[in-house]
Amino acid sequence: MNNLQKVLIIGAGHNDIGREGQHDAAITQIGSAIRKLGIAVVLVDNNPFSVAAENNFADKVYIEPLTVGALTKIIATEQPDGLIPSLGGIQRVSLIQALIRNNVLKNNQVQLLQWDAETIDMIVNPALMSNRLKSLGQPVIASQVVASQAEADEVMAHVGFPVIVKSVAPRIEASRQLCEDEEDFVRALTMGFKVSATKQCIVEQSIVGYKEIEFIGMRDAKGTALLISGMENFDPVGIHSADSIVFAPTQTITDQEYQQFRQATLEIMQALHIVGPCHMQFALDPVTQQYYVIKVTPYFDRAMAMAARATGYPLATIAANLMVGVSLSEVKLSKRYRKQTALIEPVLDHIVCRIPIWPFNVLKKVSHQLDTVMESTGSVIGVGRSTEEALLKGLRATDESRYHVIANQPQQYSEGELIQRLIHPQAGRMLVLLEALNRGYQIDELAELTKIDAFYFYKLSHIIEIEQALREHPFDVHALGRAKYFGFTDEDAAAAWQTEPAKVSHFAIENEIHPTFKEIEPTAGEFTEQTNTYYSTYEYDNESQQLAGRRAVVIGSGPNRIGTNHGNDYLVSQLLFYLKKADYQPILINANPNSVAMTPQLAAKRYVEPKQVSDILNVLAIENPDVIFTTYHDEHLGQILTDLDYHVIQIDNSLPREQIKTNDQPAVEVITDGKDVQIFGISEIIAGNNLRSNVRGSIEVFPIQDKAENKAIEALSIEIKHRVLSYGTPGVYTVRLTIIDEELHLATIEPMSLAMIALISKASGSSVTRLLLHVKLGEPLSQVMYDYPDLAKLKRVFVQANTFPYNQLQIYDEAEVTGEPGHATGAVIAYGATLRAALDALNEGNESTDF
Amino acid sequence: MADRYLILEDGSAYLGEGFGSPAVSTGEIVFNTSMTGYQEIITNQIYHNQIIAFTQPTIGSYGINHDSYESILPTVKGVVVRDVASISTNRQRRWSLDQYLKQQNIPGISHIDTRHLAKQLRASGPMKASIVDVADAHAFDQLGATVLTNQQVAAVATPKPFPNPGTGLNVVVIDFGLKHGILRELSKRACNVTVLPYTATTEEIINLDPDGVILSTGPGKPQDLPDSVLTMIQNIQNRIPLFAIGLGHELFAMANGAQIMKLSPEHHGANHPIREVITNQIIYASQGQGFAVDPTTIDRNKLITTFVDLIDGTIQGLRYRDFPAFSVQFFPDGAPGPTDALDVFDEFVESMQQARGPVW
Repeated sequence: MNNLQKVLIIGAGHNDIGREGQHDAAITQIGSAIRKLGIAVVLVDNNPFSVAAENNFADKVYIEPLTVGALTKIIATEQPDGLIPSLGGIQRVSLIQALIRNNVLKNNQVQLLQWDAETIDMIVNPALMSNRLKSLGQPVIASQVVASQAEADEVMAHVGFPVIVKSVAPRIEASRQLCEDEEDFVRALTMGFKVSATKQCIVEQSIVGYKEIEFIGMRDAKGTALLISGMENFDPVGIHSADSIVFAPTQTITDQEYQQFRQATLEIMQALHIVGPCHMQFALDPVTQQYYVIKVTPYFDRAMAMAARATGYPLATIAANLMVGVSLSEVKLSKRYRKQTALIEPVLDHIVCRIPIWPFNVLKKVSHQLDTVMESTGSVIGVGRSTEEALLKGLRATDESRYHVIANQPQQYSEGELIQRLIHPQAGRMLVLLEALNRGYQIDELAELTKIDAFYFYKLSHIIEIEQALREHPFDVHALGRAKYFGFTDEDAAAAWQTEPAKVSHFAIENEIHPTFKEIEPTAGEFTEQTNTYYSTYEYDNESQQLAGRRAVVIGSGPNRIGTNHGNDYLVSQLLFYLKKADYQPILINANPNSVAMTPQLAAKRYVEPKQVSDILNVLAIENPDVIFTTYHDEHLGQILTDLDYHVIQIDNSLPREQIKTNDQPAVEVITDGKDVQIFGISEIIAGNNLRSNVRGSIEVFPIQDKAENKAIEALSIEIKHRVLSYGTPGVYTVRLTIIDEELHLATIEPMSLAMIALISKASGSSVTRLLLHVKLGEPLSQVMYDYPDLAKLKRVFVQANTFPYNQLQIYDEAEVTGEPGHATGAVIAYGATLRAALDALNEGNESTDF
Repeated sequence: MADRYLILEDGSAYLGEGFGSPAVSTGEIVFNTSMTGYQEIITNQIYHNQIIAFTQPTIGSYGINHDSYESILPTVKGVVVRDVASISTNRQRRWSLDQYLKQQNIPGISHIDTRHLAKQLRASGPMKASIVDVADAHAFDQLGATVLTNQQVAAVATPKPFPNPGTGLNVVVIDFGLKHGILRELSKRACNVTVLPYTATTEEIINLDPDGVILSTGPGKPQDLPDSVLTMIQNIQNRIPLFAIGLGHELFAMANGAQIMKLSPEHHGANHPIREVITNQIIYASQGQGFAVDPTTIDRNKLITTFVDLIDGTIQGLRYRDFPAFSVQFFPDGAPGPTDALDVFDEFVESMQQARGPVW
């Protein structure tokens, strides 16, 4: 080890497109693993929904803007020995680059962990990375800046069609032009030179249509390196890999190709001295087997989160050890893992399929075309023992339709339209592919049109076959058994047989068609590794046994969506954390690979399953929980389970979906156990002026700063308590006030928003989720509120605002100005001694976050 | 596809679906955890008379390619999988796995709970097993009565010498059930290779005037081979640079007085960390072994351990103290599996060059 006493972790800031919570999930695990090694952890983040910033995942948490200024002060105060640079996404890498250039690290003798300073420059500047890779003998995409047609022709002579032409520093919104022939090329160049501020274009070899392969490696400071996971994109290069369906392990590449990628991954990591995990993206020409390195990502991202979920390899915990200088051979894991698991290259005996979620149902104006710009807001995974099962479970987990996507509704496309949609894919393309198969398109023809490997079309055809057999054989044991074996549910069979799912379920049980749960662990059954993470399938052996003790099932928040989910995942994580403290065995059902709730320390057991009723009932049949928690999205599910006599506690707090009218009117935040009411404090909403970058809309302030108003509200406290008791079951609420005739009156009562729960938790240092949980479990307020502070003694005022994805999605209209709460993807929090100071800090923390 | 059964000698039966050949066949069942390379594994002669259960759930998704054979003809007794992929064949993928196994008269069985099977075999060690149409008492009786041959090497090794010409160093490969990867690596290094049957005498080898000798991989238990093989090794190792792999490594150890022990369960995969003792470097390599050198029986005056499997502690490499003779238990040529250990072949070439002395 490097004799580290204290390390600094810079968090990811607000959730956004591309930042779904995987960073916070990593920080929770890495923070606690480093603390276990006796090293103090200081965390800086301004994400109110950060789980790591609560619950002792760090020794000290700074809720400060993620800026050079703030970080410089924190480093001067804390004097950490090391800085962990990889947990805040690409934006924080630029920040660290600035800290290095300003000599902040050097002057305070802070060691940059994991990477060389040079690596940081290469991450920030892809051209530097490309040159470095080239010098290592790795194939990279040929790309050249040209200033004339003649120069361009010269480049073309080497590269060959197709090529991509981009304008350098374009004065208008200019896209990348794919040129198939001379005519395209001349047209694109003429246009490109015209709009370029420097009269230059970039001519780049096109790899559109190649297979996209992702590998994750892990390396320690001594140079020991291993492969964690190989993954394969269903969609070809040309669609952003975050917008692509992805499978782990690789499905269609040969051992020779696989070893080539493994070797390239480890060689690059060695040459760049990367410590910790690293994500490599490759393009593979399926005909010539030539490959290119597209991208090297040594900071935590969605692919690493997926690799960890898919393999069961304790990636974050091991990475934490490596970051502070422990070698792979020295890593000590908990007794649940076999000795030296850190050094075993994970092997899988299941298949994981990740499916992206797009915001298009909310943001109708965005182009639905899938291309090189990432547009998905989240993703889910399906885990199964066959490609079909993994895909169907993944599709089901998106919750996109009541019954899953194989609803077999004929799509009303003309032949021409269908072909266009096959060639130019849009979100939800699976329906288009199935439609083409249903219309009798040949598999090889489809593979040629879409550049999707024929393997997947065989799998899709098989799914269609199974469904057809199901429809043609109502209540046939064989047809149902086979359908379930490949990932269909009671609901699917019920739709095919035009009956009720309950009847199918009964029929299945009668005929001994039972789900079996298998562990997701990294050795494919070779060793005993207890990850306590399971998925369902229909086979012979069931590995999941009911947990002993009081069991609480918490149904996870599902995929990150625009609007609400980032807060929901925080809520679910906190529920798991405090259920454990309250001596429950918390059991999570969740299919979001980026979810913080998946952090192993939080739940006693995890089921990676979709949320269709039959999926949930399968888990409940094993666990028979004492209580089930559902959150905002799953009201309907909660009701169904209640009707089935399960003890369900529905938590209906959500982010506000409507724009709150802001007249600077205060709201009172309260908690009740049903008998008594206590006031947390008073908040107010103020209009957000001069907000920067992704921050929009109004600002929540807590606690309220107006002394006179405070007094007036205190006078209303009896009335408030009365109204809350008559309104609500145990829970946390917001009582809005209104001014009539210059007097304050009670207006409305609503469940307290998740944003306010997070805000009060961060401001008071007392977890509102914990309080909420205990009153929901029926405990009296008098026993619950012991650690809630006297707000009068708080010297700070906290402010919080939503962040929006409009820049990333290239939306420029009125929404840009106001920010619809239903469009938010995240939030930022700040504080100050005065409201003015707090607002300044809020604004300071949001520099441009362009990708 | 037809319902078929995988039955095991402990009385257990798995219902699945047949693919490949409809033949009934019996062999020793082992599980392999490799993520890729089913074709290389199926055609590796170390699996002669064995039934291979793959833990990787989808097998067959990239067909059978002309450049992925590890022997000319596969001699496995069966292939057990969760799912066998349908594919389109083309110039690169000449056959589907199903077509290939039909051609080779090898039965396959899919829809098996291979995870459960692996856990069962992990506890029991390898067992006799059959792929049959009916899992009745008769089938189990047949299985129980079947005696598997212990003459696997004789069944798969070449009966006659054959050349693999090159322009470089002169190498004799003693064939115990040779994996093609060995020849591929020697070809890359331009070696002029003569492959001899495992029954080759010291004299026959010396007469070819080799710069070096390789003892190849192969199937079965090393103790089942005639003692003449050990004598040959003893005669060669102090005269000509020697490199032994897999079964060859086990024989090399035996020839130097070490004992061979049975591994239970057998280990077939490519994901164990292997430590190179001298450098402390950790590498990964394809492994397929039912036996291992008993470390307590090694004569430390003669042999030093060069590689160790960090998971099961088995010896993965040995080196003679006094002569350029060394061995590895794992498959340094990959095919399938990591290529981390390819430099072992370079080391062999260097030892041959050194032994040869300077060329004027």
